[in-house]
Amino acid sequence: MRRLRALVADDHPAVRAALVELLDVLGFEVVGAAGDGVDAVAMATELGPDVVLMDLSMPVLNGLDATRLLREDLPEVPVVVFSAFDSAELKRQALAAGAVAYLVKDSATQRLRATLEGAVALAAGRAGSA
Amino acid sequence: MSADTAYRAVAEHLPDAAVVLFDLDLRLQLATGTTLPDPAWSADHAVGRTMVDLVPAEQAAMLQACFRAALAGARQHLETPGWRGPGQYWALDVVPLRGEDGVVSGGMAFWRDISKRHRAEEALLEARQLARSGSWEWDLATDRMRWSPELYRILGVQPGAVLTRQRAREFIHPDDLAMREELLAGVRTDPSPFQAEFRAVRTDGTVVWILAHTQGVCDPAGRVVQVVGTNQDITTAKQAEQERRRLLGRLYELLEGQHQRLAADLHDGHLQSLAAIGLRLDHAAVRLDRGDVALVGGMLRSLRQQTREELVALRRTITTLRPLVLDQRGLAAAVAELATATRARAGLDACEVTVDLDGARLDPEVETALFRVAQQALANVDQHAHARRLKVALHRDGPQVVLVVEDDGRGFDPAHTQAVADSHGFGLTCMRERLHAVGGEFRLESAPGAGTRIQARAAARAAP
Repeated sequence: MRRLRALVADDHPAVRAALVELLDVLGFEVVGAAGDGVDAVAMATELGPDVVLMDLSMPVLNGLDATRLLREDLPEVPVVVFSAFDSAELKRQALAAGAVAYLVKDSATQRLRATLEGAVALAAGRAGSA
Repeated sequence: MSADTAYRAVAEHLPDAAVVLFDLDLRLQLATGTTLPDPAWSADHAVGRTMVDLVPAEQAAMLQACFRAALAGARQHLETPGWRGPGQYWALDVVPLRGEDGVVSGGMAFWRDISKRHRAEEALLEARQLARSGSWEWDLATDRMRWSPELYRILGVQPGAVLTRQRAREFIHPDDLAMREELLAGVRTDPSPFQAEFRAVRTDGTVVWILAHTQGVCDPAGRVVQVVGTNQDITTAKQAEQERRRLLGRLYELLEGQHQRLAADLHDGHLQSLAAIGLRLDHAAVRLDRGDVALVGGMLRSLRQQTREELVALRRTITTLRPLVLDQRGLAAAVAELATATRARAGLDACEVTVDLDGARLDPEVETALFRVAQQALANVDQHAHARRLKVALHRDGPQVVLVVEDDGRGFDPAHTQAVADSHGFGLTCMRERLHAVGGEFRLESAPGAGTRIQARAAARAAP
């Protein structure tokens, strides 16, 4: 089975590095790691990942705006928001911006993997039915 | 009963009163009463003499004139200081006495000692001056107003100037005129007392705040015929209130800024670090499930180091909020620790720390204020000064404690960069305000290229 290709966007270097390592060991192919929203959009456009794992609070362009741009430019690439805030309002905003799921950064590993795989499957289903 | 006997009976039974009868030559015929203007005026001494013989010349002339006017048929009333000592005050009514033929045959002076009343009035006036409070009456039928002397003073008007309501309303600040007029119009139909604040413009153009108590006075038929009130100058209190509000606003602003910085520190620093540690632990758990024990061992050791670093960072955040060393070991130790940390953080070549408070603890308010100033000044050295050398001194100077933070950095022009400096987080205003709050002084010396020196002084009050 092909490894799912993931793009990570997080401005905190330690989180970014840890996330890349964890996704790798969970079987994802991490195609890129962006430090801000602009880089995330640019790398997604260039690398065409299966899924983007997006932090919200980032410099230059925040995760919500980057998600909106990706929904417009790359509607077939699902965005999963990965935030330090456990906030119902932020979750509502993230989903309104076009994210398919909202995960808090202390989510269990299995939940992270299942959410990313589910997001990709959902996007593939949509693409197939379109 | 003769007239003399009657006068005597009246005068001797009225407290604080005396009666003097005089003839057409102004010579006294009778002097009696519980309170004669002069105790020396026994009947034997006074009868047959004139006021010129009995009282000092100035008062004698005034009394003689008054007596003469009474003999001419005009009733007289005057209130005058006595001559026997300070604080003595007399009310005097002088009337002509007529014989059976209706011709004036002499006069009677009725004296009352009003010293107590006069003292009370003076005390009231003084109290009003102290309270900057004046009173006024507005007669609706004539539209004339009467003001107390203090009210003239409050509004900077020549005392005694004739006032109409129209003239009085010209003193009211244009922005408050409609409100004041509406309230005064209302009192014509409802005399109930009310109070209101408004601004008035003095004759010299300065604006004063007035607290006015106002009420109507009714005639027996219940119609409001007069409006009376007191106007108190509350400008000083208003200014103090405005200053208090400004400082309170500033305090909340600073607190909010502090909370924002703390939230940012927690979110951008600690929360993310902990999230990273969590992700790496997740990673280690997956590896462990696969039996990569050696690899997990390395990961755990690395995570232990990461946790240590995070603890140091957390301690720094806590120290910024409220350093334990300040509470436990006092200002001198806390400032020395700050200076040492600044040297390391800013990578300075030299840091000379001279801290000596004889081990005594100061009032916690003073300790906190000076510590915050030191903290801000040293943060400036670290973040803005580009300095190589730093001097920090803390010592007693007589009844004061003095903190000096001096660097050899790039400096700035304090005269022109206060606003810029504050907006860039130099916190100069904060330092100044912190010291003012404990009655201290803040001095700043800096020039472009010539380093910066701050000096903070506060009373070396001992800890209670």
